[in-house]
Amino acid sequence: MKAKKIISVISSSVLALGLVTIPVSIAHAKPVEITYSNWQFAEPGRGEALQKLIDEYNSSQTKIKVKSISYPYASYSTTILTQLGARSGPDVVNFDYDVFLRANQARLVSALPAIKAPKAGFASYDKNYIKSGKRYGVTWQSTGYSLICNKKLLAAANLTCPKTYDDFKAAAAATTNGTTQYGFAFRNTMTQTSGWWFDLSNFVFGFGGRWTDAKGNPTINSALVQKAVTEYKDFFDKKYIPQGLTATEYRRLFWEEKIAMTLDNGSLPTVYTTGNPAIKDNLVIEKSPFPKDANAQILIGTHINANSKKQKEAAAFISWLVTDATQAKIMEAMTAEAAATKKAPPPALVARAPWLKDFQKYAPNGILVLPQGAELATEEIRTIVLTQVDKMLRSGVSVKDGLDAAQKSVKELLGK
Amino acid sequence: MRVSPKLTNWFLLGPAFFFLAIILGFPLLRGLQLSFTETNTLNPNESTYVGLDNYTNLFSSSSFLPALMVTITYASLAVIGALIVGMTTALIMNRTAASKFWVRTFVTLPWAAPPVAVALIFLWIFNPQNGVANYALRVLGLGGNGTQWFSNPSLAMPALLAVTIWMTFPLTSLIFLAALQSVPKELSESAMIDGASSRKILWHVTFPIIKPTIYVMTLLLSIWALRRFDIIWILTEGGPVEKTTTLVIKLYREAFSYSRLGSSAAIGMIGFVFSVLLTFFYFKANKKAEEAM
Repeated sequence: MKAKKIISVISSSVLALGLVTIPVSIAHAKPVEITYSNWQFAEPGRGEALQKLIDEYNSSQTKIKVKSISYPYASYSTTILTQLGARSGPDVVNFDYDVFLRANQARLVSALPAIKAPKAGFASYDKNYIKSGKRYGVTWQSTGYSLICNKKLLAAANLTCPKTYDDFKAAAAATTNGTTQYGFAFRNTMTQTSGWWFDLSNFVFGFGGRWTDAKGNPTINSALVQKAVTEYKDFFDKKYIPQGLTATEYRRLFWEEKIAMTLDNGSLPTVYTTGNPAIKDNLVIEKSPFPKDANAQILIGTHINANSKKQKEAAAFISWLVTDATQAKIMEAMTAEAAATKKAPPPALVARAPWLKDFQKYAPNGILVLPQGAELATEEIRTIVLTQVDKMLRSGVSVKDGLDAAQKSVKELLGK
Repeated sequence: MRVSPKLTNWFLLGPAFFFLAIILGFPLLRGLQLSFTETNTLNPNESTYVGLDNYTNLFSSSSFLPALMVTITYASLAVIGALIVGMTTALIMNRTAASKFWVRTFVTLPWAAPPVAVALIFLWIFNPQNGVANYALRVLGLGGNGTQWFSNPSLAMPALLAVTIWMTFPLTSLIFLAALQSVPKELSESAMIDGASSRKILWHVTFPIIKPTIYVMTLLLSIWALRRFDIIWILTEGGPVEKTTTLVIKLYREAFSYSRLGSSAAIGMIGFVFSVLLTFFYFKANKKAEEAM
């Protein structure tokens, strides 16, 4: 009788323990969901490839599930920054470098725990994400601006992809034909300020100018910037470029083979060949054609929302991103010449996208378009300068007067 | 126990007052409070009291008064345009009895379309390279070779107004049509027997009767125009050369591009005062008109 009682007590306890532990273990098996925002999810072609990469991560382990979030690039930083400011938003976010600086200053991104260095080692621009010895993100992608030529259109004018500024300007003139074909293209409207700033910076850096000096004093009306903006305006005035079009519109004209040259970043040949596969054989990449070897550089990072409740899982996801294997996959998915590490694009990718080698070659010439020493005021400085450039292009304000006015406003803004 | 009617009134109005206090009163007071502070959009809980600094900075800034002038110009012309086109359409619809249903349906369509969709459609219509507007001008031999509607300083505001009026006139015309149909036919018939021309009947019989409706529409259109953001942002983002930068566009830039929540709240309060003044003048004018009748 006693033995029976003992057996029944033990079996009841085992059953009870089982009932308690089984749901707990089931609960443990359920992955923690983290949200990851990146505007590239919304880009045709690249978005699907990126989502495939995330799906691969989700199926590679059972502890973390990444859910993708996307907003169009035009409203991305405003939307995500506002969410982060309201102590909400995605757990992991991608930001352009200037947006990261604003978020970091407002303490909206977390310092990452120690991340195992990838075998290939971090790329040189990785140091931008280390502040006071702490890491606040990793590079997602870095790309510079190079000259992209359509050799067929240039050959029709007995020209090749130019290597000097004089040849470049002459080629733009020779390949422009009224409103049916243009020699070159750049952004020139206030609805495209972010991209316009890169295009204008290419001229400014290419002529040796900078927006600020090493001490953070504005140099917007310096002789070098004046020369650069005068040349920029000359392209506009002579109608070598399609006026008033957005980048999306003129990039379409490029793949329709109605524009001979553009100065754009490494992701554009992919866009062109997606729009018109036949253009691939006509693409030639050259160094930015300005007198100085300096061009605008895009730097995008991945960061953790400081108010995320899932810091550990977010950090684990970022650690996975910088592994050598994932880096190769990111470059594949983005058709990018460079990501977080020194790892070169995989040979199969280079065979598919040969232009990446050229963009990689000219990468050392890249300069961030943020005014040095006044990085946090980039957006205001950009609006001030571009408003004046808009006046030069469309209201008859002289280059000197416009840049003097911009210099004065920026000095007031920075209290210099 | 008998409850006084006054108490019953307050009791019945209570939920509505409570609702208004929550959704209108609180944000308004919070906006007012923010306008006296320096607050970063990225850190809205950390504010510094700065008194009237945001207001004085605004009035001394070189871009505020131009933005105010752009707002007044845009609002005035958008209202006048919508009233004229709306009234003309209503008068035509009032006469064409046979096709009323189809005409009304057709006229209502622009109003039913979401503003963002309208703006995107017009971006294509006015596209310098492939837009229908330039194509039409070229076909008619009136130029249109790469005309930049939204990036030319002289054309941006007229183009923006055209889109705005296209979007707002349908509601105006429908309301005017309803008002026109409420005018007793006997009045115009007796005026006609007395020898009054159609124009005189319209001016001296119809308009005085529908005047209150015109006032209400003017007020509503003005307030909508003063706070319109969507189509202006999509079409021009305030450019070119700040020719379409209204107070609301400036407010958005201050808050979300430059993260200056205090300064943007000050712009919001100035806009609010404008709307209140407008409403005040409307009631004054309306009262005067009623007394005259």
